[in-house]
Amino acid sequence: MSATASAALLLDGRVDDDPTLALIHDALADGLAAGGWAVDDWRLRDDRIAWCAGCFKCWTTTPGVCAHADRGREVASRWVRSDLVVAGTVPAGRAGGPEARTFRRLVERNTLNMQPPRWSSGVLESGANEWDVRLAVSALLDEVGVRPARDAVHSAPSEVVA
Amino acid sequence: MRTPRTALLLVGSPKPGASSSESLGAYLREELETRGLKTLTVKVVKALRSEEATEELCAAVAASDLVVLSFPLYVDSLPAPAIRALEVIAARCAGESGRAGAAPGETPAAAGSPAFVAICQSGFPEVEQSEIAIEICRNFAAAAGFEWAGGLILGAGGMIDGKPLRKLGGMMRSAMRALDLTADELAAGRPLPAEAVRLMAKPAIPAFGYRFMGNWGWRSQIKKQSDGVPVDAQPFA
Repeated sequence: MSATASAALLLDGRVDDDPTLALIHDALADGLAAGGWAVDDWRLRDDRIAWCAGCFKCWTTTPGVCAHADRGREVASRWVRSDLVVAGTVPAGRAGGPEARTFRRLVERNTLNMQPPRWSSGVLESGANEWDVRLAVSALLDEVGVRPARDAVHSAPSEVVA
Repeated sequence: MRTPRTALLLVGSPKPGASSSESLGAYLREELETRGLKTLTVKVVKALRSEEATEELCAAVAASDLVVLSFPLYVDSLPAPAIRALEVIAARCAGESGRAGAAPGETPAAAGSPAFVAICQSGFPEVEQSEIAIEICRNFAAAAGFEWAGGLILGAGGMIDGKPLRKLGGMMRSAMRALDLTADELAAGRPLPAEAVRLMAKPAIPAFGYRFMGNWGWRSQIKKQSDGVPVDAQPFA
């Protein structure tokens, strides 16, 4: 994280206008702005972002750039301008996934292109998660997941997991 | 778990053409057919293209005693279209039959509920990479009112490369045996046996050999296709 810059990218993965989630989002955006951060607030559901087709062209043909020309490509360029990235999402309905489909597409589209193959330890090294390799910066990443309702696994009625 | 008469294979791969997930699912579907089940295959990417196709997906799920989802691991989870399909199934299909609404792990499926099986394959040699994705499927099954019949994980799935398992022969011997056992048990109305899970997880080749071939393959492709752009290029830096 650089000492002078203070740019924050908010990846808003909400799928609807749930008031609880809106409250969290607004508090975060306003709080960052009040603290002097330049906030790039991106509501992902406003954009058409295709899912990853698994073509691996971001490794083999255009290293670092997704082959699919839509706004999903922008994440890497907006990420590289940021000192802080906050990814906000909700679990995927009853499917129980870690992120809703809106945010999921973005994660898929920007994992491989930000993380080139690692020859030294093997392409398929366990747990590889080095998104900063491609970007030459190390933005802080904070992922916020909100569970709007109580379930059997998590006891708190509205629990924020960061 | 009831004895199934109909089975639906959901192919969760986002790839438009042949996929390793489809290869695995197709083998199991064929084995279920030989055991007397009527089967149907639906690719989720096609089912999500239009309202009509989505309705057909829901109708197919509603008509099935057994649903098998075969998918590739995408960043520790299911691919986005597979997640979308599960959301649709949970919200619409299961809702129509009054089975939806429970939180994961809260309510066991009612007796006679359709069964749900997941098959996850990934390019990682380690099967542990896919355990979270299988857990997601188990949670989905519980919440959508399906009876969870188990999950299979195949590592080093890149070796299949979308080819039919039978054509790959001995290399996929353990996987085929796992699917044979799976078909035996599912057709008899029983969940996946532990032996099938173990056999599917058994590496076809040692991990170091798979990594070596993987590295060689990627290097070769990049050399041919990247027009001189280095693999660790930083186009946005």
